[in-house]
Amino acid sequence: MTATMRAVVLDVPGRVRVQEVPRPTLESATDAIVRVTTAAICGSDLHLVDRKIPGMEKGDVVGHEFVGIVEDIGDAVTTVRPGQRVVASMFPACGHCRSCMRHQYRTCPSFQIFGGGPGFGDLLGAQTDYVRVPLADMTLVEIPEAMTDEDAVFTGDILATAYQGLAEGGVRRGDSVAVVGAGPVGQLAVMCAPLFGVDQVFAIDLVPERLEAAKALGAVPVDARIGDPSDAVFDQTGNLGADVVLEAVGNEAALETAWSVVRTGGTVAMIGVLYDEAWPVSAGDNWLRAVTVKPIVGDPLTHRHELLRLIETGKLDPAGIISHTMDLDDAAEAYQLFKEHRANKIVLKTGATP
Amino acid sequence: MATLTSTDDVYTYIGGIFREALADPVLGPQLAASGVVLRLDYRHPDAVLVVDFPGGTVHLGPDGELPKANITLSMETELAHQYWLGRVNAAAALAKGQARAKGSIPKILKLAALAKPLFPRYEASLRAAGLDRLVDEVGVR
Repeated sequence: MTATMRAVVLDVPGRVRVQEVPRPTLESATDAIVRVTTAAICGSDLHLVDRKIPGMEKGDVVGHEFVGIVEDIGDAVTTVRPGQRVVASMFPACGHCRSCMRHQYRTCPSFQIFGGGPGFGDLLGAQTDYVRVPLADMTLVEIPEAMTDEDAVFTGDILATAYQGLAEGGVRRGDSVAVVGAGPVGQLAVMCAPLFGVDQVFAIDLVPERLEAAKALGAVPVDARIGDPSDAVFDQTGNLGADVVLEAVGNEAALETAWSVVRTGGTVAMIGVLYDEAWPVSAGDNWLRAVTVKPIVGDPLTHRHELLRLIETGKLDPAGIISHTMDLDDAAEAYQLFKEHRANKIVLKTGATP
Repeated sequence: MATLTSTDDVYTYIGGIFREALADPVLGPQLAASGVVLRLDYRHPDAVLVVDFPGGTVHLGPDGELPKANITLSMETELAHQYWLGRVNAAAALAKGQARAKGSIPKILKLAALAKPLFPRYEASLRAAGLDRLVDEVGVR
């Protein structure tokens, strides 16, 4: 057994590199060590690497979307065993505290995000050959045998995030939904929308390729470069606006767009990563318009079983949005492609096999 | 329902009520203090009015260099006419999609409240022009 392994780490702000780091070992009886086979790059990885979310230091390991094989388990782990192929929730939770009993896992005292930096528990990331998984019984779940890594990896974060945006947004049959940001999360929201009986879903973005991708999934594309998105949404919703808006970017411009397209009495679900952005309207404006606001950190622990089943039965095809499959060694190039919108969704393969 | 039937009438009577408002010694300063530049896009008949409250000007028509609006309201001319007769619940009209708003909702509702004393003057201007039918044959929204 080698003492080191490859890992994608922050090099300088805005750039990653692959370097050798110490291989993790069990630290607690509830830990597991997972040999990573597939890891995905998420938009929030960019937020961390670009330091929109501060705290990542040179050499910190990134990544929170991963699939792998259980290599080793602590004495207290009972639900997974070595050799099983598993997908991890992007964050561990204990499963028995007050918050967990309410399915509010993000406020579990054990909450930390893989590769989220010091602000989110300083848990090492998963774009590596091996990763230590705390609270493995909750964090990991076995993947159905016939399912590919590429499909399963989405249930650990962005598919669950998109799905939760619709669920927590209170989408009802016949509703109109607007998704601000047609990146990977936005595209998955479009993909999930028919499961909620949505009548029409608008995808708003500035990037033509992303709009095309969303259109192919069934969205009405709204090119925010051409006109005011609110005109397009109001024109096609009987002048009412969207019942539910998913803000899937995480910046002030997207928040402003979200509030401009939501109907009076509608809901804005904020599924993009926000850190210190200003609110786009006054509290009074929001109150007068009776807009419900849902700040959402995706919840794989609540939704992963249904999502795995929906993938298994062919109702969801998350791997269909993958544009690039690259080697872990090429992570620096992959991040650059993703950052420049030259890739839609990238998965990194470590070369490990089940 | 009876309503203004030509763009010229819109500019004469609705444009006129804005000019009166700006010139009003009590209301004018209150409107100027709002900081609002209001664009109104009316349909059937089509008309565009840009009211620059701080600047004290009313621009009629879509042509020429218009001040940049910070609030835009779009609606049927009929709704605007009914509003100025005091027969429209502004908040409900927005919620029901009868009017479309871009900009601060609190400011829009504040303007709507400030406009209330002007309703009788609008009606009077129509009656003075012999357009009683536009007042008497209008329902309530």
